[in-house]
Amino acid sequence: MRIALLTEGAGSHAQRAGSWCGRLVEGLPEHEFRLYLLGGAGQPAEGRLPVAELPLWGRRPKGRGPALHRRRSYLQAYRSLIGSLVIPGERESFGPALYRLAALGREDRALPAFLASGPAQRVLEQVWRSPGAETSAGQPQVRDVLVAADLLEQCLRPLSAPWYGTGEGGLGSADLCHVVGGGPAALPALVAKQLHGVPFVITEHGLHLREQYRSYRTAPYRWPVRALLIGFFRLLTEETYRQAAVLTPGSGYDRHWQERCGADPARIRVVHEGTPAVARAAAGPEPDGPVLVWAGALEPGRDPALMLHAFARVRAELPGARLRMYGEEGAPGFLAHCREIAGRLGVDAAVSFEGRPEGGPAEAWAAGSVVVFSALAQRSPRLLADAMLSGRAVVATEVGVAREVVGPTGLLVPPRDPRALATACLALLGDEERRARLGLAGRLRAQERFAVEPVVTAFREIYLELVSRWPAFPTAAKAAARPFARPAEYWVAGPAGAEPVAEAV
Amino acid sequence: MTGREVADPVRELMERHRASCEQAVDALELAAALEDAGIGSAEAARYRHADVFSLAEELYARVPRRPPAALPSEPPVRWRSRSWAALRSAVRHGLPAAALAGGVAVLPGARVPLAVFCGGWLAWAAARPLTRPAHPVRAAAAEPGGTVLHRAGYGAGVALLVVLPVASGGPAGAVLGVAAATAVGAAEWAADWLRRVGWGHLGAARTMADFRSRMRPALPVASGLHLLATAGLGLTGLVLLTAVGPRPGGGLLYEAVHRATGPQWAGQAALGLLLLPAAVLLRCGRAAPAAAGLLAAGAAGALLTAARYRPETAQLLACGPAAALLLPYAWLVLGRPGAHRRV
Repeated sequence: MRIALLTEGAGSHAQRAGSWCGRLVEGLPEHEFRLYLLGGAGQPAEGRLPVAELPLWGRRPKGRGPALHRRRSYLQAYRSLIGSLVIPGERESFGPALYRLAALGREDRALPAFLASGPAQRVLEQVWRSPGAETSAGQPQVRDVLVAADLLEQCLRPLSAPWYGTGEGGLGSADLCHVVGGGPAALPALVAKQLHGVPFVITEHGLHLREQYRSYRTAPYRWPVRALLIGFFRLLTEETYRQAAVLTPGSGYDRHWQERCGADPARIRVVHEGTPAVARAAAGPEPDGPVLVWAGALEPGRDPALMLHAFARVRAELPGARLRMYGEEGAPGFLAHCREIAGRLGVDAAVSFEGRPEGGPAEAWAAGSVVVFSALAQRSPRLLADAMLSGRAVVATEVGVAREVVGPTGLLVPPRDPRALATACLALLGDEERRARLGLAGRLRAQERFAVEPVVTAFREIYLELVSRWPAFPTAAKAAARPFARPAEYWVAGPAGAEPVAEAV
Repeated sequence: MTGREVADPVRELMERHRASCEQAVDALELAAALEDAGIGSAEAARYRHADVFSLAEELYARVPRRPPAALPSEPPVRWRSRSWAALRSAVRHGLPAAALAGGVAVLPGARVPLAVFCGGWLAWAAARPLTRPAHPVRAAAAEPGGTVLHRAGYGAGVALLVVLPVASGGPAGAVLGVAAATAVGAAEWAADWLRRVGWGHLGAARTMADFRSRMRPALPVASGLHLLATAGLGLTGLVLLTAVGPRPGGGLLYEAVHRATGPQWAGQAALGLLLLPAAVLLRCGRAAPAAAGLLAAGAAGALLTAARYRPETAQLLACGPAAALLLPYAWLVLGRPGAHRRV
């Protein structure tokens, strides 16, 4: 099968064998992958995969605006796109407007210049300040119009990528698209589906929409700009979920969010993010004396202060206990803040801030007898799974993915509760047999869930299932989409780029 | 936990997250904020909700949106530092022109090599890249000041326009040319002032039409200031020239004004009115028209001088039409909000 991998990020990263995409490509050598990268820095691709890149951020690509007689259609499409973003009753027009803009841009490649032009800015202002628009926390000003127009231009750049069409290297010649990470990376897949009928799978490790919500909260934009852009990302995500043939979130927690954004539960398969760390040996014997290990970036979201307060209680019961905190400063001045808390609690002699472990995270886990996570939010299962793979017992706050990752193999405590955390730590520190039992169970559980092989198998099956359900030649046979119109082997054997002449219906 | 249940447990939560609730753009953003604060489905159950999403929806519905506090405005650049920069620029431009004028007076035979050397110096001084502070309105627009090629064209245009009167206009023409070169500093000051005015109105204007009407008088005012500066510098130079040279009689000021003829003053005004919009356009991302206008005027001036027109007539004929084109264009450009972004 010819599979188009669409993702955002630097080319060297997505191609590296250790990355998620690299492992997938390596595990499925029977398929022909082609990488479509958004936001690549234009570095020469040295991997084995054929790569197409499109710079997503930074300066607008050179080009002229649309000719005068076409500008009216551009303006109409743009008007209804903006209307869908700011007028609550016009949400439905988002998809059609998006596809219309894509079609116009494909014809004359004038979309980026149009989006930055004065007429487009005037339309944006006009619709944004129209009576029905949602501006409960402030009307947009001139500066907001400029900023929003620029941001929209950047987000819509994938629409004018030179990737569409059925020729060599076009998305139309692929049998399916696989979008890794959502947001603008899904735009080419949406257009390819609309234009060529190519189905797509979307894999998200950490939801793009949720990350936008989090980053825009602290962005230096005024409320109207945030509302407009968040509205864009939300409608784009909803449209993506609606059109995706299969969604594969990395955790049940993300699945819940996706369902909330309108994804059909029947099309969601949770595929845990595999990690090569499953092949690592378990950590060696425990250190002498009771040692707690804490790991994560030093920032308010990870709540190291809770760990320190809990540790003060542990130390009151168990004077020989020590705490090793691994991780770099995530917020400026936070390390000093943590040291000050430790000093105030009188435990600074027993707490050591170790920074980033030199020999990888395994070194951190091996340094303690119990691993503690005190975070306020746990969006990714990565660090938790890594800790469990060491075979050390885990105590975690019950937030985000913690419950589904740790399950019965560790102790879960409510967040922001130093007493509960201290009690859990003490229970484990005082019971060596329980510690060993939980640690082993956790290691087995993580090995089963986060192995690489099941990910590859899952996608092998998803790909085959997808093309078997999909009509073989959507362009030729518009009438009836019959499942299994072609055997799955057809797709494996089909020569690249060969469009069949006649569909035998 | 106390035995008495609070009647409305959500109220306390609402108070704790009031800022997030007021600024949220939709309920999902609030859900993300609540999850970041450690509130999961277990805690949502305490507030009688199935999950954090429905809790967020209740909070979003109960707290009205409120306009956020204004973003902190950037600290204004001190008037004095801006003026220093303009003064340095004036010296940078004035020095080569003065050197040329002095050289021509001392060595009349070496006119051409001196003109080439000082013209190159002046072009190099004028083509220096602009430096400016970063700004929130970052954009993918063209670089301010244009590419190296644009700046080179701009520098060459300035050099041509200044060198011609200085080298061939006699003592009064030379003094006026040096004054025009020095007044480039004033033009840069005025262009920066226009940019600052534009940024100020970007933050204050409500609509683009409002912005346009606010920017309408800005360029005429700046042009007037620049003309005043050019005339003042020219007059100062002429006064100095008159004071050191022999005087047939009459008041110093009267004599100084009459050292230059009417066409010379007119050419000087046209040159000033050409340099200002060019400097403005260069800063507004329209470097190509700025460089083209200056180069065309310079080339036309050189051709007319070669065709044995009087230097001041050549200057007036070359700069007048160019200024008549560039000034309205710059005025239109300044009225567009997009021209005022900083990169």
